[in-house]
Amino acid sequence: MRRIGDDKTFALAVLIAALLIVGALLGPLVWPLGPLDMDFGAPLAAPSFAHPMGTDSNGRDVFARFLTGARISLAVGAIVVLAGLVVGGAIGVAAGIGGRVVDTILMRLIDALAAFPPLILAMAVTVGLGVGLKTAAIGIALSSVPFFARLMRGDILRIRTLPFVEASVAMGAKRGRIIARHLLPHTAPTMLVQCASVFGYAILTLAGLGFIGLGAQIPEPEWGAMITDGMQYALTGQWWLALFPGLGVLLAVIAANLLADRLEESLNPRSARNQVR
Amino acid sequence: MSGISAHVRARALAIAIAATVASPFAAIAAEGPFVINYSLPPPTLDPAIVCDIADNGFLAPLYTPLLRYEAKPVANAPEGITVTAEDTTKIVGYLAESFTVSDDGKVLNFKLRDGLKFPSGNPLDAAAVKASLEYMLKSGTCGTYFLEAAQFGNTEAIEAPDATTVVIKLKRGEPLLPHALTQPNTGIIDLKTVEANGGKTWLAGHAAGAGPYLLADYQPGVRAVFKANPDFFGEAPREKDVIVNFITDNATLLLQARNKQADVTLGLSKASVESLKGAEGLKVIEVPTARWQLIGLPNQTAPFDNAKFREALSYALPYDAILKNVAHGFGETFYGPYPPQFPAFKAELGAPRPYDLEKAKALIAESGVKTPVTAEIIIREGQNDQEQIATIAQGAWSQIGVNLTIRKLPASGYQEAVGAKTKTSAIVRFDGPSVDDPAWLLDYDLRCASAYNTSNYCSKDAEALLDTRHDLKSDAERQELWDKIAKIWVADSPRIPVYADVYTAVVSADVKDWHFAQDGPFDLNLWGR
Repeated sequence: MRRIGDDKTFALAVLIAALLIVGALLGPLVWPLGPLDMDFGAPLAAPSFAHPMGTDSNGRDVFARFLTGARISLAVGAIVVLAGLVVGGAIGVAAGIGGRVVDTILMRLIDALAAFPPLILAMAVTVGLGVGLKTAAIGIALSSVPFFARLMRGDILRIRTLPFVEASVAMGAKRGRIIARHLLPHTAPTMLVQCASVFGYAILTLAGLGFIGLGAQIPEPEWGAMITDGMQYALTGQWWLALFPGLGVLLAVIAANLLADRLEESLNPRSARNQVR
Repeated sequence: MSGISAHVRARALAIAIAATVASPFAAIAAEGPFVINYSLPPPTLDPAIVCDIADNGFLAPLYTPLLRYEAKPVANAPEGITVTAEDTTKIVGYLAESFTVSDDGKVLNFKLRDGLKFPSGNPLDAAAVKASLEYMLKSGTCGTYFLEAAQFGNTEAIEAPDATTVVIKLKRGEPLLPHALTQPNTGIIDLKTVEANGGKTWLAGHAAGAGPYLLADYQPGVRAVFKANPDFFGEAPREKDVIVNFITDNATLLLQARNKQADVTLGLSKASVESLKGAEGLKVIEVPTARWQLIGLPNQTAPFDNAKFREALSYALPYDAILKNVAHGFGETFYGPYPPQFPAFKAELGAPRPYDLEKAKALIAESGVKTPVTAEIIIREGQNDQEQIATIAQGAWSQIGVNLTIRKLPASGYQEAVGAKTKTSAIVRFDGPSVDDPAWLLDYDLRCASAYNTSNYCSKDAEALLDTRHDLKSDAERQELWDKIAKIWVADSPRIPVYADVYTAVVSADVKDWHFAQDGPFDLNLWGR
């Protein structure tokens, strides 16, 4: 079995993710220009040493906005993953061990939630609760709950029939202990992959909501909203306004998806890379 | 892998790209239909309902009012094109061959042209004109506002003593009424055709006028097709077929203009217009107008009810930066109730306020308003210039302790906010009166009870002065009145005029004539190749 550390694709994904995380955390502290600082003397300036990603129509530094945008996107991604994992995971566990009635009720609820296309559900929640970054995060988190719930339930149903779990039950172990000691740890690989996948989904959906004006509000420098702002200048020569936030979304989503893909490959004992040759 | 080689695939791709890029350039031939790409689809075609200056203009090809303004040349027009605009000092007959106004202004007498007919064949005689004017008068909508020039209840009678004479009798002389009767939405409607088609709801998507064009096809929000009216009494329109595409996305509008897919492109953002300056085969027309971008302040809501606070805000806005970065130079700064294009404008009373943060801070202290203040500013969705103005105001005003939240509303919500009886938010708004006369503007924008007073500005002194306008006989007396009102207005700082707009249109090199009207512009019969 090859070590995941030897996987170049995985290393690339980790590198991109690390760059984005470090940029998001430290960039706004280190970079001298703020995302809202306006320089009316330098509107729509092309990328230069002073402004590596140029400036927008109000003379704001696009690099400063990009870094703050990264912070917003990564934070929302993390919140969505955490919320989805906790809520969806709890529903999945309850459905998996709660018996037929509980399972049926919870899964029909999840089916109802999953009947809405995720983006439409996120849009509906955002509009219903009032447009903004917080409500967008709530909407995306809600739309991610079925992903976790179904997967967790499936895993729990599989693991609970394994001999070591049945042995624990036969020995009179309490339900809480079985869940904490035997079931949840064994769902970790699957959930880890799902977390990485949902993280990418969250960033992309946030950018989508921002693009149509349902995410971050003016003047928050969210990547999707920055792309929308930049679109109107795409044909007048100011390509940098939409390109860099677009690249940000692209890189973050690629990194998350590659991580999910490689983790799944590494952690799944049945995958080709883990077969004894 | 398929048997097609990489070389062949590359060539096929190159051909496909070339075809895609080249095809738009061949789309317009000078002999084909006249194509207009326009960013503002009208919400209705019913003359009684349209109120907005842009929507009103869209009716100009379809309806003929009794009167019209003469045209005057616009200075600095691009080479090879004659650009004209309304001369609002010269009103002449249109559907009416001639007209007279009695000395006391109470009786307006119109002599109609002989033998006029609607496209339906129905006679367009004095009885039809009387019926149409009375229909507008009783509509209770903007039609009533225009027909009475905001002097509600002033019309005593509309009479048709013979087939070609219409008489409007007023209780009090109203000098604005002839101006109102030049507006497209006061055009005469063929009410018999309306009745035959089920009533006035039919008018929302159809036309029943006797204008230079007939509406051959209309898909709301998508496109309109105009055909020259063969029975039009005036000079025949130069363009027989006109297609209007409604394109709200600025990038698409710009791309199509650049690819010369339209003879006339209206509604492009100023940044896009600037990028087309000097483009081969295109001309940019610029017409200074009596329309402006403003920030309306909710004068009856604290702390905006404090005049010093409002004045502070007006000094904390970087006008020149906005003019440069938002209007891209297509504008002019001023401060006062009237924009520079108004005949009543006086430079000494309407000079722009400088951007002076120290003065603004001192005024805030003087006002007694405790900072930080949290307020909301409303903009209309899809209006990038409004968004930019609000963003700049947000950044600038935060420096004097006023923290703005920008709220973007869809068109319907925005109209609701603008028309709300009591305003609680600042509003970025593009405004302009249909008639560039202070009386017309102040009647809706200054009167305390007016539903169209977008800032709830209420000055009893100014309103009392406005009430005296009908007693004044000479232009000098009226100018004196406008100056007095302007001084009160400036001292009260009720709202912030950001800049007066220079209207821009992008036309192809084939276009030889183009006309600007304050309402619109959409006088198609005065445009052509």
